[in-house]
Amino acid sequence: MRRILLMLGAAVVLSAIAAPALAQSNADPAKTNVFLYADTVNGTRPVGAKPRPTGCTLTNYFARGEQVVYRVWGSEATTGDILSAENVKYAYVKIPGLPNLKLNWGAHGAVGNRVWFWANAFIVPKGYPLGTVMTQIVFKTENNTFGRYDYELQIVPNLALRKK
Amino acid sequence: MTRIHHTCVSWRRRLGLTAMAASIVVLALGSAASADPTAVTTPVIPGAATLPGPLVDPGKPAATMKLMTTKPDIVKAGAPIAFSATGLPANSDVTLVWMTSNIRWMLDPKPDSVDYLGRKVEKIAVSLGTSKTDAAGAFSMNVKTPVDFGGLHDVYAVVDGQQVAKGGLLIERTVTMSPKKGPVGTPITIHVVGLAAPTYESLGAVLYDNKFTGTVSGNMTRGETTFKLRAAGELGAHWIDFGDSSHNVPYLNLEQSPIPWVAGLRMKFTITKGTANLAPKTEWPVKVTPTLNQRTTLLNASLAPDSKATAALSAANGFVLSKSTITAAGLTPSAPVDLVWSTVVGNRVNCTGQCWSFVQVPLGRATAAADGSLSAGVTIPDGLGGWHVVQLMQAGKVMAQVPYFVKRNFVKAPKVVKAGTPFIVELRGVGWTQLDNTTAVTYDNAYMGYACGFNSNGYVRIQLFATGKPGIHLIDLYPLLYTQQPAYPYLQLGMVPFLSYRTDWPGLAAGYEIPAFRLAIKVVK
Repeated sequence: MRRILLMLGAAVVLSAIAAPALAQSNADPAKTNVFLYADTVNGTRPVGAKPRPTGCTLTNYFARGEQVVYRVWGSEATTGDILSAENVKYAYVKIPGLPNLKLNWGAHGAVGNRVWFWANAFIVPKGYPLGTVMTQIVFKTENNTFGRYDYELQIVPNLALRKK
Repeated sequence: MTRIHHTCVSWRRRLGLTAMAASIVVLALGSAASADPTAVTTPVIPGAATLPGPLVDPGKPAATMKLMTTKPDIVKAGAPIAFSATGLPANSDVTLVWMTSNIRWMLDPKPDSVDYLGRKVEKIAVSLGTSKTDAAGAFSMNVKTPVDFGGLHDVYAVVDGQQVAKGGLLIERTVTMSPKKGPVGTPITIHVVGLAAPTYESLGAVLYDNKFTGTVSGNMTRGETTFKLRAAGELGAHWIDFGDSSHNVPYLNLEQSPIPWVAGLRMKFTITKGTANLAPKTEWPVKVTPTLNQRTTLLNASLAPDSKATAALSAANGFVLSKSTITAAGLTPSAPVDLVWSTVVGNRVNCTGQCWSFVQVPLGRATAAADGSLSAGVTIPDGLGGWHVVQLMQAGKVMAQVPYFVKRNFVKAPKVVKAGTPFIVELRGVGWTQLDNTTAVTYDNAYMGYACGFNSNGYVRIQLFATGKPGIHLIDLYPLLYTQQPAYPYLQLGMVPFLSYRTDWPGLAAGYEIPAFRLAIKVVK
């Protein structure tokens, strides 16, 4: 009896330990077969905004007229394969009020120090609403698996330096 | 009224009682940094803006979200704005949803102290009104910009729970000052609208002729505040900068930050000949009804469980040495009653463990009437300020207790001081919690430090030194949030003059009335 109670106790403890891990894995396994990492940097060719002193710096704050550059890396969970032009059917960013932004696989950076990733850019239109914009990065692989990443941008006014 | 036998309590007995209290009755309530954050309900602040509309469900993003035109989209609070969108579901009811925040101060109220833990921002959605799309799916709506937190706000057109169109705008921060000229000592009122909810846009910091004066917030007042400085310095132009602050001091290159719209505004004040009224003045916060019941008082758990006694004081607050009358009912009839003041002794300096403790100070002795009632006069001890309780004890048991708030008061400062000599400003009734253990000191609007009243049992002697040219120099004492011992990470507004204390101060929710003191000296050769 004591042994049964011990086992029962151990089971309770184990389930208590396991519970948080299970709780974190809240997505349907069928939908988590593509892993994505995404970020945005400021492009060096804004249209309607002054270029920032340094280009290609990580940010998700963009003024109207600035160039938003998406950079995305991914892999297939089941195979571990890096997502590239060889195993991806399509990849794009869905931006409210704008056409989908197709992502392209390519090498970036100086010769000898090149990095391959998915990328494309858009200019924030002049009248684009201020505030939070939730964009969605969508991938479909040749294996018909999907990946989606919700990526938030902050659209801010294009203020000239204020006169005090 | 029952006569109090206060004077009949011999000093030996009183000393014995106090010592016993200190050694035996001391409650082992620690001062360790084990925070139990409580988001305190904001009390009703007179004149503060209310929510711009009823709370609503913000809806879920539609599969295809349209853009909503917002004209203009950089506005001042109260200005007219127009929203419009096309391509929406035809002939449908539209709710215009305004995304904003509620902000509450965070405190850790304990029986023996209150710790300040910052603030909590909760994102909420409110309706600015409803409209209908036409047969072509177009809609438009004109509203006034809410008097609300400044900065960026998302706005959605919501149809059947779906965010079908997205707009947005920026509420600009506006700062106005009045008057613009006057003699030295003139009170200068500064009105700010549009302090925002996000941390880095939520504070303002004030520079007076490039000297840091203090910091301003508007958490309880939806981003709006009015505060005062006084004109200090020589005849002529002086510059007041109202800049942004992320945590307490000014952030000086906001133009290069992601939030350049909160960059500062600079105002000129001209000091003219003459002198304003320089009599010492105490400026209290607005009167509010506190929302937090648990203050720095002993818990009800200390009451004798079988006691049905009730008690009340004729005044709920006052200065040290104030007189008050305590009345009670339900006491053990015709039995002696010890009237006891519950306070603490200790300090926070280099505190690493149990650094202060409750002690009981005898207020006197009386006898309950045959019907169990009592009416007795008490004198508030000259000690620490803040929340205390008066306890009625019979046969060693606490039969009833009543909270009492000891207000701080200005005692003394010289009017004339020789240049290059020290002088002292005295206060009494300074408390011990992180809300009331210190006062911040400015000299001619330059923050110079703080003074603490804990170790000196509420009596504060601020050691100052007369500097500057002969003439009037101003000393202002402001509330300060003490964020050390224990210290919690990343708190805003710690250890600096809290200029907007009148309408936005975490202690207001807990009944802490902490004033500013306006003093002046004349420096002579």
